Amino acid sequence: MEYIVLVITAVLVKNILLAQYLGNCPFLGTSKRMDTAIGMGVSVIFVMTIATAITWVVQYSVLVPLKLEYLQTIAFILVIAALVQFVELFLKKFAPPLYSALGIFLPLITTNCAIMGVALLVILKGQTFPEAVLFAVASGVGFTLALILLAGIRERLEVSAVPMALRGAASGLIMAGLMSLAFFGFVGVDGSLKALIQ
Amino acid sequence: MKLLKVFTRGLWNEIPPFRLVLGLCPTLAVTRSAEDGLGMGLAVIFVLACSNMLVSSLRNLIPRQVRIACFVVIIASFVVVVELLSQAFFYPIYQSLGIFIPLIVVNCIILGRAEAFASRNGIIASGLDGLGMGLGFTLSLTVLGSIREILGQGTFFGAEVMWSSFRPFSFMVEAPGAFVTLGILLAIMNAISKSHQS
Amino acid sequence: MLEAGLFLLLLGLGCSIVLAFASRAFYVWEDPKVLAITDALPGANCGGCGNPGCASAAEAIAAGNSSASICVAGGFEVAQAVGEIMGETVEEREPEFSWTSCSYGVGKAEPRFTYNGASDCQAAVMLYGGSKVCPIGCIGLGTCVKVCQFGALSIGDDNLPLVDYNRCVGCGACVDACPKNIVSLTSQTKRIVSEYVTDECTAPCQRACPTGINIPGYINEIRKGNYEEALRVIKEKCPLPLICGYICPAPCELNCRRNLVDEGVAINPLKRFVADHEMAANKHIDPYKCADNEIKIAVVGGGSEGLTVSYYLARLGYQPTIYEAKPELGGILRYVIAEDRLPRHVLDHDIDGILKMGVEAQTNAVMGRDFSPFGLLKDGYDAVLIAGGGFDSRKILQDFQDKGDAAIPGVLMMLDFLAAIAQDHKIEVGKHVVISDAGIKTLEVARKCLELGAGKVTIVSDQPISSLPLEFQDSKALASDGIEIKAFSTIAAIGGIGDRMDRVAIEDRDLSGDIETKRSIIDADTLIISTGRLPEMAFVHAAGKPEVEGEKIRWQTIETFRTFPSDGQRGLLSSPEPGRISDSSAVVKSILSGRRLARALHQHFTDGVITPVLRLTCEASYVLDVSEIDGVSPSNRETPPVSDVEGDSKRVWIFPKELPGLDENKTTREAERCLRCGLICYEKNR
Repeated sequence: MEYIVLVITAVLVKNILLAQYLGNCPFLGTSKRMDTAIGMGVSVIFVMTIATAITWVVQYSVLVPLKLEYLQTIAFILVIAALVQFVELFLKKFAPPLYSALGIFLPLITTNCAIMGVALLVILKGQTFPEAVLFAVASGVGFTLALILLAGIRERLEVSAVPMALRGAASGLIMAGLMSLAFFGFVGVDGSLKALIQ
Repeated sequence: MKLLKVFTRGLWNEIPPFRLVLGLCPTLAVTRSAEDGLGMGLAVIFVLACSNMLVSSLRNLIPRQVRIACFVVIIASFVVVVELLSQAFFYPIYQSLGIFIPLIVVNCIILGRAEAFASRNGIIASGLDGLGMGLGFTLSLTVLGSIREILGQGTFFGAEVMWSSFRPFSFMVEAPGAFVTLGILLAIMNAISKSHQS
Repeated sequence: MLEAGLFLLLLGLGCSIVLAFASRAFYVWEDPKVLAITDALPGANCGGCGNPGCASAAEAIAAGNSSASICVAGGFEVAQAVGEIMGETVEEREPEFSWTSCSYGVGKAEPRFTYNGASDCQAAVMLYGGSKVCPIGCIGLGTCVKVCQFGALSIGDDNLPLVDYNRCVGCGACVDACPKNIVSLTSQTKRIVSEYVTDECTAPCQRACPTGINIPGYINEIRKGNYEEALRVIKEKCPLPLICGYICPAPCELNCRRNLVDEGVAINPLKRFVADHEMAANKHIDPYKCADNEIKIAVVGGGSEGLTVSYYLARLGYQPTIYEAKPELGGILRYVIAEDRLPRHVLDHDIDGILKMGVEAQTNAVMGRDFSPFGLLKDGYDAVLIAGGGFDSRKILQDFQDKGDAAIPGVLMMLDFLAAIAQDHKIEVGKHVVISDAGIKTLEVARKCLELGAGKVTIVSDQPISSLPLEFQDSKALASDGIEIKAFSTIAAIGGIGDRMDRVAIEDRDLSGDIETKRSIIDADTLIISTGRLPEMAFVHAAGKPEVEGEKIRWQTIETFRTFPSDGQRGLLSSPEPGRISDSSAVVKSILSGRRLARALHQHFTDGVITPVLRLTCEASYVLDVSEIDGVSPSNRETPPVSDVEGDSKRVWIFPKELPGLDENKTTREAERCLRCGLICYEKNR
């Protein structure tokens, strides 16, 4: 049951994009069209899960025993960069259709702070391994959800008479703000769910 | 003269994150108050200027194929330095910035400047470019933080500035306020440069 | 400190070992050609080549599925670079560009309702097909502008798309995006041979003009005082503007929308004014001409049709030579029409203009006596056109047939045949005779052929069997005599070798099913035509030009025009407009058939097939129009002085020697009367 609360919290209440401010650059960059939004979203779920799992292992089986926690940042970014490269090579070989669909998004993910952010967050929260992986999946889903919702709105905005100054990133940000406001409605849902379970 | 141009470019013509819509996550996340914005900005100036200079001095040694990985390691090292320094000397700011200090690693502005400028120019120019861009970023963050702080909390750098009956818009310090404020500022910038052109 | 350094070193080493291993283990071979071609392509992913993007286009090229020159956006330079990678030589292709056809934007055109929805044309047409009354009018919301990756389109002040021809690469993204077909891809040659179609914006006068001159276009130029530009617009479609200016019956004026309020605009006198202007300046204004090619074409007949074909062929870059039996060019224009109506210096001026476009002419050259179609093919011509036109072309066939030097081998006129029988002349027919059309005398001729030694006679009629006379319907009885009926069919082409005809292609007019299977080729050596006139024919090499000297030429005719298949107007003996064979009742009609002949030949030499014109605008087609107009105040038509009889009372001419034209003041006033019509739009408050 706790896992359900964890998922709902990560997807809706503390949506990584709209409440935690993580992953905004790709968010604005790839939300102009629905197909790129879906591609980016799926890539993020994929990489985020694997990256969080590996960095969790790196943290607790290497950095902590060696008392090198202060090297967390360097270690994590290196692992993530190598992982993205590895995934790219792997997909190219074993899943060419998936590669041609997600290929152009993968290099962008290295500098997606949502990946690094989630990896750091699970350590910060002291989550167990299954919790961490689940949190990563849920965060990825939350990211994808927000991205797809915004892409829908922006595709519609594209054909509307938007004032010149507001075209592009400006209206995208304002739309994200309004979406974020809407997601505010979920605040407290996690608490009451927890109370319900108990 | 040319160096001056390199320096001032980051302050208006290409001021991040308005002209170069990059590095949005920290921009949105840490501008709850002017102080946080300024702190983040200073951290970025340090990392940007140092990494730019180091990248520039090593630019002839780094092989092209692995340059991105090298840049990331260089940046990560300086981020660790900032992390440790702020932990030691500016603990309150370190606490309020939270995971966004390690996330400077994945701030696209820094990697972007390393790739686009420092890897092709001399040390002094690269340092100045880093300083200029960093200053521009700091300026933006401080402005954004000030607006959000004044409207959201009624204070400026912690000091009360609004009239006593003023009721702060708590909306402004939350995520929606961050998105909308940045969106509106972006629109204003667009409108100004548009009227400038015509 | 040492620990930290060691850790980082190990971590870096670990990562690099894993990646190095992965790059080996997961190595995928990529064709270096694909990468090189992808680099050479512009990378705009415009889709103009038909592939979803540049990368897949590169794969298609490298795999040999596409030619090196498929990239439309990159033009010749990119094609050359790609060709170099592939080791192919590429030929320069004619660039295409986008062309917009609407001239009354939202705001000026008649609205049906005000549209406030999403500002996107494709969204706007979902609501009752758009906000304009005109079903083909531009919606003006700029979907074409959005999809253009080259910044070549913009929406102008009049809410219509403007094309920047310097930037347009002809990728066709705008054509796909436009829900109204306002934007189309065209090239100079396509524009030269274009026909008007029903879903295109045309003015009533334009549709009435057989040659299809852009009448509102040239009147607008006259209004602005650009007489030379006006003439250039006319010459786009009409090679004989001065002659037309004198003798054209001007069906355009009868269809002028001004007739609904007062009198039609004096369109033809306006044309004559600018043409007279050119003649007075003693120069020739040349319309657009494509780069020359090496293809030589012989045109038999130097009348208005032959001159037009040659003019169009020369503009398309071919090398035409006219063969004319009479001592001078002009045909009916010179030898039939009275000099009072068409002064000879007028005629000479227009013919000079055509010759100056790069047309050769040989006069006193008679077909059958001095040359024959297959002889010309043998002499190095790539095609021979017969543009007999309005003259009694039977003469050409008859005079020399009995000398054994047939002009067109195997082709006889039914009239000649009947006359020969009646006079007991000796006449020879081949083993298999094909007779066109099932008429009163057809069976008699068929039986006579059998008597004369033919083994088999095939009668081809374009009517269905049930509408033929009864005697044709008993196919069993006829078959026992050796006569076969092919009803609802048309003769599409003839072919032969050397001076002998040996095959006739017959096409089924029932067009349900696969069109390609409708054509059957039968071995036949005589064709008896019942129309009384020779159709336009275009002879080409059937098996390429012969390489060995003295080898016999295999030849065939090609179709000269093809409209939408379902109306059945095709084949050798059918004509573009309902009726039989091209109409030469007016010079403009000959110009029309001449242009279509040139179009067919151009298609033969470029695409290899004659494509039908879908939704062709012809007299029978329904085109949207208006039946009343408002907001236009009546004004008097300017007329040229009818005669100068009063001033010169001694002369008894009903007409003066040369009909005078409009003077410049009257021309300007008359040009102002034009309503600049579109399909249903026109200029109000005039």
